[in-house]
Amino acid sequence: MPLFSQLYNFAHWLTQDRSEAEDLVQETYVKALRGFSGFQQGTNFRAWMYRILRNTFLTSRSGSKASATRPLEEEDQEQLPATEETPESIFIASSQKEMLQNALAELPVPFREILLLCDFEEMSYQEISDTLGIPAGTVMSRLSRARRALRLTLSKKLKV
Amino acid sequence: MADEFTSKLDAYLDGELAAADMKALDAHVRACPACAADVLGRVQMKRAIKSASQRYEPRSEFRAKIERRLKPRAGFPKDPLYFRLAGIAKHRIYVARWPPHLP
Ligand SMILES: [Zn+2]
Repeated sequence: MPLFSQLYNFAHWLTQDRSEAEDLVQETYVKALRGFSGFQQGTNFRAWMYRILRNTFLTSRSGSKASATRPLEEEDQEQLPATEETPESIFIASSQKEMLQNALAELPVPFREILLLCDFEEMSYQEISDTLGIPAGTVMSRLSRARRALRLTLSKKLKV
Repeated sequence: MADEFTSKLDAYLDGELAAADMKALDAHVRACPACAADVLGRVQMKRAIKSASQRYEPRSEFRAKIERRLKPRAGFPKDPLYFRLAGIAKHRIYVARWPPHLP
């Protein structure tokens, strides 16, 4: 099954829970089968599947909680302070895989998911835009804010 | 120090700039030590994220369960999505059984 492992990995990152991730993936495939007639040939199949998964997550209990408790990025435009850590120390932190995984898990869902789509799935900005249903310009600004937030989270962990 | 190129570095590394901008950035990064260091940090971070985000493996029981669900049933044996979703799975089983056991 193409995409199965990646979709599962993505679902587990979103839900942070194995059984919720399994429910989410299962529901995604069920919806995909049911809605396949609505899938337009020539559009991006991967983005379509991720979009179903993500929309299913957002309407689930933990998903709506995750998106409700986090401010949307456009609203907290300037709330991220610049990091004072040097690039070297950030690099040391990011090379510690577990610390980076914890930092990613702590990010608000909109930041976590866009980093996964860009750096793990290596989606183009257009694919990310199709998946998340946001304009391409927002993809760019959200990505740079997500990366800044990740650096900030890492530099906080370095100080502890 | 940040300059007018700094804000474009992510899009540059993500391969999302137009060809002309890409060339301009290439030239600038070669000449500007600050941007060069910045690019290095961002590349390392991208790679680190890629490796760190491959974190969760589905259970094999779960994979089998979904494969069963996607098996063609009466009604949509030729569902094109089934073939897209199941195509690689069949291929994997075939590969996993290779070489075939001879009697
Ligand atoms: Zn520069």
